[in-house]
Amino acid sequence: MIKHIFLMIWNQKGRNIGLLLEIFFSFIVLFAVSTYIIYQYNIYHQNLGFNYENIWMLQMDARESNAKEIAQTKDQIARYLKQQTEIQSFSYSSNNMPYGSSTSMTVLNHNGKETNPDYFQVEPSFLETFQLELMEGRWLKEDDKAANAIPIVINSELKKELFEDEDVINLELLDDEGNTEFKIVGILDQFKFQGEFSPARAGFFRLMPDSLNYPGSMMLKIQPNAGAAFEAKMMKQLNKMAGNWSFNISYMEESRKSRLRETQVPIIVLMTICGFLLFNVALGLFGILWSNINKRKAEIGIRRAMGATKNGLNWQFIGEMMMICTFSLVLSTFFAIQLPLLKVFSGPPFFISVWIYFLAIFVSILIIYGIVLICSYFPSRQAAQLHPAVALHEE
Amino acid sequence: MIKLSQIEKVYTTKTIETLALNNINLDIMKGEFVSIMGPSGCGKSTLLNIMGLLDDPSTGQVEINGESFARFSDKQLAKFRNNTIGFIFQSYHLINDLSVIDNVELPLLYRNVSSSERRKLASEALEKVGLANRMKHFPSQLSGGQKQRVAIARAIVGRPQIILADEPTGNLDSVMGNEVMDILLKLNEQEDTTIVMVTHDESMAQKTHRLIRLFDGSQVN
Repeated sequence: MIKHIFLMIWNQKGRNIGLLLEIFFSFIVLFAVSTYIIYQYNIYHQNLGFNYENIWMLQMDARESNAKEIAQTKDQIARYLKQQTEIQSFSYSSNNMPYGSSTSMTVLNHNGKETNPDYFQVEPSFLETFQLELMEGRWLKEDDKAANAIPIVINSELKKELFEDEDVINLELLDDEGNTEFKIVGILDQFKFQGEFSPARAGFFRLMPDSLNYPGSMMLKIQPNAGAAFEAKMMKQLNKMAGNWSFNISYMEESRKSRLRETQVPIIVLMTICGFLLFNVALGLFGILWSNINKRKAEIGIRRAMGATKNGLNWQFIGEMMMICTFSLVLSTFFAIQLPLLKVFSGPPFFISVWIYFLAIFVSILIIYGIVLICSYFPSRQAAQLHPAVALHEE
Repeated sequence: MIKLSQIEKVYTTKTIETLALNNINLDIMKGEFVSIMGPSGCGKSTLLNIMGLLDDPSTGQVEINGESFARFSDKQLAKFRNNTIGFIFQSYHLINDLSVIDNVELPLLYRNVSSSERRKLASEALEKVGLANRMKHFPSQLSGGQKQRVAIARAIVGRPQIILADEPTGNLDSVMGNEVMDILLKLNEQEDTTIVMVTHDESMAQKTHRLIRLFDGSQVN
């Protein structure tokens, strides 16, 4: 029977080519959308590496102040904040903090390899403020400011990119002129500072130098019950301590929500477009099958007269559709599989792993087969239910 | 061989009931060649469909080879039709997307017959009807007479005991009609096949063993 179905399809190739192309293009679109969604889902479920709850971000602008004045004011602010029971911990930091729009990147070399990690300038209390997950070695401490080689804590992504399986604790990294620049003292898991939907990126932390001519930002881990009243009191005090500075406070949970929306909206739009497309494909298939069955009523009658059962006819029609679908999927999978084989988008900025492509191919195949099965089942069943005497009456 | 007892067939719509067959009683013996005649709409094709188990009577009983079919499932009926009955239709009912030989193989497809055996039996059937040289052709490339001969080959390929022919010469000119009739007569004589043929052609009917006339759904003598 399979050979017979193949023969029927082959002899009707002119009629079936449209259907084949429709399934082909639907698969390609579905594959692209599935890849994107699986990719985002996978990134979303990777470890974020920090806790964003109850974090306030205080951005400071020191305007015309010089480095010495800035250091004095920062010290004064820190002393005030330490006295506030509403604050669990706090840390000065560079401006490239979670869910913000700033980035700071540098170049690191090791054994002929080069990479461009993000670098973050922080204080020792940053670990506690963000509840970072240290995997190996130690975190930065106040004494590190006096070290010759700048102590750094790298994240696991940087370890993987630049050092692979090497033991890196206490490893010194050289600058372009061959002088010691950094010394690795610890390894963190991740620090996906651009949010859940951004891929894990290589990065490292170092202490914030005292001699900076800008104040940077302040990250505050506050008690869950601290609210608007405390914020108002704190801002009033800060303005009193640094009258010529400007302060802007934002809540990390709100920034996170806003960043998530930025990614979720295109996903929802894509899913909606894809859904409509699949709905159209389903309608198209339904229409083609109904029309096929109307054209083939006499054939249905003759097959019944020759000994086909209702069930057999039902499965024959479904089989024809599934076979066309299979041909189309073989063709489209051939094109889709080139992406993982050629490792397309496997590097920055996407890092799409090979397994994501394969899973997207598998999911797309399942969805297309499901739609074709559903769309062909009902018209085929209807065809099989036709009374042979009535069907034979049709010319 | 075929026994019809008190067959009635009523077609019911929302507003009207039409009596297509009324109290038909008929015995057709093995090896008999019977023709059924009557004006259009008198129920000839309905009677043939009931004999071929393609349609159910409203009342009455159909027996073939002593077997009655009231309790037969769809699968059992399909198997019985496949093994016992061959059909020939006025409009041939060939599948245009299949070649001649693939059309002839069709009844064997629903039996447990290997592909090579199917091909062999279909070739033999086509030889019998003189179309061995048209196996790879498609129905659209054949004349009406050739199409009907393909339909006959398809009807006989499974060696059925009964052939039901619904106006097999109805669409053909007299020369082709006679050719088709000769093939049916030969089948009846040489292979003892029971044939029931609906026809409008008196001369064709005269060549058969027995003529049954229908009028307004009833049998007339």
